[in-house]
Amino acid sequence: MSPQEDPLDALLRRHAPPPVADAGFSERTLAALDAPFDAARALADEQRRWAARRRRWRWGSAGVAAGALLFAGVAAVSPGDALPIEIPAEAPGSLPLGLVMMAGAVWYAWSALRRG
Amino acid sequence: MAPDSAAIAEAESTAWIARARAGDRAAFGALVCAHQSRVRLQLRRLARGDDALADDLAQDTFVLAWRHLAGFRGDARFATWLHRIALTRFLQHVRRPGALEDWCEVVDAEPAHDPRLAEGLAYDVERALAELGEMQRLAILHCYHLDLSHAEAAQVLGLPLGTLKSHVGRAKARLRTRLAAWNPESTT
Repeated sequence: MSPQEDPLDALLRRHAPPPVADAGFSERTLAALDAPFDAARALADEQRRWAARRRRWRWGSAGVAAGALLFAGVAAVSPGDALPIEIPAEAPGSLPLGLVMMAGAVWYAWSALRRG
Repeated sequence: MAPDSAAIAEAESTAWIARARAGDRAAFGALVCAHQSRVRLQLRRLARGDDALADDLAQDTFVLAWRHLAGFRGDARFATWLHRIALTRFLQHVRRPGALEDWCEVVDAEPAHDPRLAEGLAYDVERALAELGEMQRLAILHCYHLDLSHAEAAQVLGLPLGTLKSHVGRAKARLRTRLAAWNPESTT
């Protein structure tokens, strides 16, 4: 251990897993160099599919968030009964529930956007 | 590894890479021998004890490296480039290409599993590591067990350097607390 090295650093390095014995691995790998191998192409395809899926998901999430915010904005600035929201008497909890769901949708969309 | 021997090993690696690029299989074989242990160690850790899967993916890693050797520009160390290929291949296998953080979230939701047995301090170190979040464990693995610098580990894991350092710092803070009974401050 060098004089300045953190003792915990030294401890972690000292307890690194032991080296893995070759046990024919290199030989098998060299033999596999000419074997048909499509992992590279599969990897590129998978990455393209994954990127497209994430792109769709991000735009979808952005759409949900924008729609919810637009609705809330329009409802907030609409005068009087220009945007009537009728609450059925038999379901008095539907407005608060709707607001909670909208807030949940916006929060979920926002976190999906942040995860990218 | 002493600085001089590290420099010699790096110079040898450079020579082998140049020869392997020209199609010299023996030179590539020397590179495989030199790097197989750490690449397999990295993948065994990622595969959480499934050594057979880890070795299959390690083989794929070297085959990919052989086929794309022309794309190695030498900006990073060969080991860093290999570890990056290995991680990418692993994420592709678990169908989360390019999404290490997603994978870590999945792993963190599962119970910890470490089939290795150890005693005393080694046991406590392993237990303490097992209690870390997956991203923190990977940060420690790459920085301390695979001997990569913080910058190289960040490059392999595809994280900004500051984020990697933050994972290492948080991991060390937890390990320091967890291993306080062994008094790591006085460990030499």
